Amino acid sequence: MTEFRIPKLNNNDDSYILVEWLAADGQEVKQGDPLVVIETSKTAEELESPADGTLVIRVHSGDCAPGELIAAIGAAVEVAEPVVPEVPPLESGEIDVVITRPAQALIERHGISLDRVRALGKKVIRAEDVESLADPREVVELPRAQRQAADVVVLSHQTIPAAFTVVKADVTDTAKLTRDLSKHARTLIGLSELLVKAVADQRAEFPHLFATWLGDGRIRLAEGSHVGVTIDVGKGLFVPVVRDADVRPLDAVARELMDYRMTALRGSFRERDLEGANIAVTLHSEAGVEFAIPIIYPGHVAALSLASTQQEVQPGDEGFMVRQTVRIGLAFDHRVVNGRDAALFLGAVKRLLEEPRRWLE
Amino acid sequence: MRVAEHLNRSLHTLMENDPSVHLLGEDVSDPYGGAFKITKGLSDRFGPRVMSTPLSEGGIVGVGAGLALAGDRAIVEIMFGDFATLAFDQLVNFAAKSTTMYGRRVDVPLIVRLPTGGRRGYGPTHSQSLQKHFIGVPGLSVYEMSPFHDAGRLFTEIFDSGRPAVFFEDKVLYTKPMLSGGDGLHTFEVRDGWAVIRAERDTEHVLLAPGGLTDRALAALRDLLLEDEIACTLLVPARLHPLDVTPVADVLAAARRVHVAEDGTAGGTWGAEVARLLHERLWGRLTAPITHISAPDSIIPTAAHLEARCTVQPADIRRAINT
Amino acid sequence: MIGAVRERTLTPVSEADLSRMLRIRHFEKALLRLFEQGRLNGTTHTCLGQEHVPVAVSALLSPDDHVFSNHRGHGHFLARYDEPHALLAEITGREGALCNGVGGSQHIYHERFLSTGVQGESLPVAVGVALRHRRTGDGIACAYIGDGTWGEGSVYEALNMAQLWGAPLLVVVEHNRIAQSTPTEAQLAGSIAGRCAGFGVRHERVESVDVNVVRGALAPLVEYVRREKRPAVFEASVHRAGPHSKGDDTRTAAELAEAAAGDWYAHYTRDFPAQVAALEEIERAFVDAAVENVLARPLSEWS
Ligand SMILES: Cc1ncc(C[n+]2csc(CCOP(=O)(O)OP(=O)(O)O)c2C)c(N)n1
Ligand SMILES: [Mg+2]
Repeated sequence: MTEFRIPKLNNNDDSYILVEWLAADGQEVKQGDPLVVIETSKTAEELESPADGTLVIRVHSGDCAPGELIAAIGAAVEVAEPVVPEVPPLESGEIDVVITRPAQALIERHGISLDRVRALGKKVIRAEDVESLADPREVVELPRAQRQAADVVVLSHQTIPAAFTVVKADVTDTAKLTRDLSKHARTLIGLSELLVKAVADQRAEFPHLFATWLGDGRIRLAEGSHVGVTIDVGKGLFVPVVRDADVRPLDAVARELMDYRMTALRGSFRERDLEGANIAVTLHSEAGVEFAIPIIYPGHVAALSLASTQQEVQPGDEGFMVRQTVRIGLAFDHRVVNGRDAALFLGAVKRLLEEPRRWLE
Repeated sequence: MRVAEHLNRSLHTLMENDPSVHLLGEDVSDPYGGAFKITKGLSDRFGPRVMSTPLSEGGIVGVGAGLALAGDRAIVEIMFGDFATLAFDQLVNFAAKSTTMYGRRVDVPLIVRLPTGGRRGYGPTHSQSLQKHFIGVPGLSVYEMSPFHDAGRLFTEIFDSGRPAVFFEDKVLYTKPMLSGGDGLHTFEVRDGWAVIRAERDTEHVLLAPGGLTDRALAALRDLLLEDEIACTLLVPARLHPLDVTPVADVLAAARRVHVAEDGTAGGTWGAEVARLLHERLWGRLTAPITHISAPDSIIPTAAHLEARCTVQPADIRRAINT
Repeated sequence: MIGAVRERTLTPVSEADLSRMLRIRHFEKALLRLFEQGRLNGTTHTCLGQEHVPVAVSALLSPDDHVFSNHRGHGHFLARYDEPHALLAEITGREGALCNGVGGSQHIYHERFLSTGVQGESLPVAVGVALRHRRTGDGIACAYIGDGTWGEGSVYEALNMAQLWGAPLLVVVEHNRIAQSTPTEAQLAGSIAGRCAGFGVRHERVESVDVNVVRGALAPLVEYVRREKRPAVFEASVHRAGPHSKGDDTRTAAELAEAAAGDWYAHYTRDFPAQVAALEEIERAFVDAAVENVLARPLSEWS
């Protein structure tokens, strides 16, 4: 078999145009037969066959370079020269699919048919596309609400250097009290409600925890305690806002939270229910949850978590006693407040939850 | 059809359609037809409207400006773009300034054609790319030939604008085919003076380059796509200055990485000006500063191995985009 | 080397020519005054002592002809166009300016008159314009340059092309023996005549500062350029009676005296005092009124 390469035809051009073949692919040709017309920048030149044999055309037309292999002459064997996966150029310029070399390698390795590749509906097929075809496991797209949540938590993680502190509160007495309170107020008042109110009431003493970080070492203080409370009744996570919870009475706060729970069940929150919080309380009341680290909402300085109530045996005056405890976590933006402020804040909240008499005053 | 032939045909058509068009240059007459054969057949056909001139680059650009001022349209060929420096006064102080310095619009329909660039071993005084020296000259447009753009339409556009223009023509590009449609990987689209070359819509990477870099940019794009799996859109403007990016605003809006390649030497370049313009436009949307690819700050040597070192190669473009 | 002008007696000049020469002179003097008063922006080059050359030339040109002028161009303009107000407005940046105040003294484009401030640059341009005239009629291009401008290569590129291609180009050289501060002997080797001969370009030189004599010598040359469609160079020997621009005259007292002695104005006033006195008053008053009128105008606008 003889290789037929384009000779260097002049000094100027580093490429020529293959205009036309004068013999057909597969035809028997004789040495000296005119074979192909090559156009240089100056002229069109006919090249002759260098040997007798069957013509196997490699390059049919178009751009070609000196030294390039354009055909073979001899027994009709494969010419070994792996080239870019052949995607025939289309006259119109419309392209079927482009397969990258890494993708091509994967296609071959997994024996994937071109039809399946085409079915991806993509113009450029990359390795990752082929991998998706080769992997039998299902790929699922998350619901919109979850994708939005994903954005929020990523932003929080990327932008807020958070620290975390947790305290344990003894709520044995409070648990009893909440029953009376609920009866009296004719709405459910539990630890969650007490915590929301307790947190809201701290703003006067701990204004920084309700602030917004502005950058450059500056924060903007809040004008009210607007507490976001996580509610997830199985229809997605919502964080409705109890506005001005510091200046409203406990029963009003409790009633609003109850309303929000109902709204969540109906799945009919309005935008304004969900806007304007400056601190958040996340509820983790599922039995057995000991403590939880909340995510600080972008724009907030702090987020609290309320875990489920635990039974604890503690040494008491007469031997041992069973107490009910709960852990309250505080994640805080460490640029704005330090561990000491966090501990003081949690301490104040804890006292309110532990000493139910205060609620009756 | 090759670019050289396309240019030649465009000039034939232009002179045939418009008897006011005159062409001057050294050795442009038949049978020689210009050092790069771009003017072949014109003097045989159009007689005295085609003039072979003495070696007087400044003089003939002045004559062209005079013809233009008096009501004709003039094309001046300077044999090698390097010699445009000899016509700098006529271009900058006369032709360009005259469009405005007399307090009203004065038309100077003048095109100065400049065979440009290295990669042919002509050595330091016959290989340079002087585009940057003509950027930001009040009243002067800077064009560059590309295999995508119809040269005849560009010539007409320049004449109709009434502004003089320098028209750079890459010497290696002369030997390349005109391009349309696509190349099997990319589609080629021409819109409002821009060629948009891409494999898919809304690519993260966008490369801007003048027409003379087309072959090298396409080679880089091919490797980037097939080997590195990076899709990059190539934008080729016909008019380098003033640069109007509005026709390709959609492509740029989708970009997160922008690269500018050019043949000129580093320092005070067209590409730097493009980067400035695009930084203003795209600031905040890009994930990295605009990458600039140019020849090094050097003369262009003659020996092929040295010359290759001092001219932009496809691998330079690929490397810049892929890092 | 060119000696001082020796005529003792000039021929009588027509009222029209004399009026125009006097108008140019008073226009230039007014500019120098305005400059001193700080009412002119930038610079200005007056043609004191050279007024008769453009007056001699302009009468031989037709409206179709193009005139290319240089930095010392007020006389070139005023000899051709009866529009001193517009020129003054241009120089002072007032409404009614020829080029909206953008070009100023050295950059004027009005009808077929164009000046630019780069020495020698206009000659190749004039060749281009002349080539168009050659093709389309019997117009010519007339370009004024000074003796110092013969240092510029563009002059020779232009002469070469003009002669090769038969461009009807008349180059009028106002040879005032000086370029800014440099005397001709210090900047021009050989002669202008010799340089023209090298290109085979016809050249005439006139020594007289008599406008009639200058015009008489030039007329056949203009005819030659127009009819034969060939370039020609006309060299008029003159004296720069004023500074190069403003307050930048470094010539010695003797040199200044020599220049003053070669001023046509001195000779003509001596020979024809009554005619000068009669017309001078009119032109002076006219120019003064023009100055007052133009300076009262609002500033020019440019969009
Ligand atoms: C290319 C260029 N160089 C220098 C100057 C600065 N310049 C203005 S006038 C002048 C002297 C010109 O002498 P000449 O040609 O004899 O004319 P004249 O002033 O004597 O009328 C010079 C050097 C200029 N305007 N253009
Ligand atoms: Mg002089």
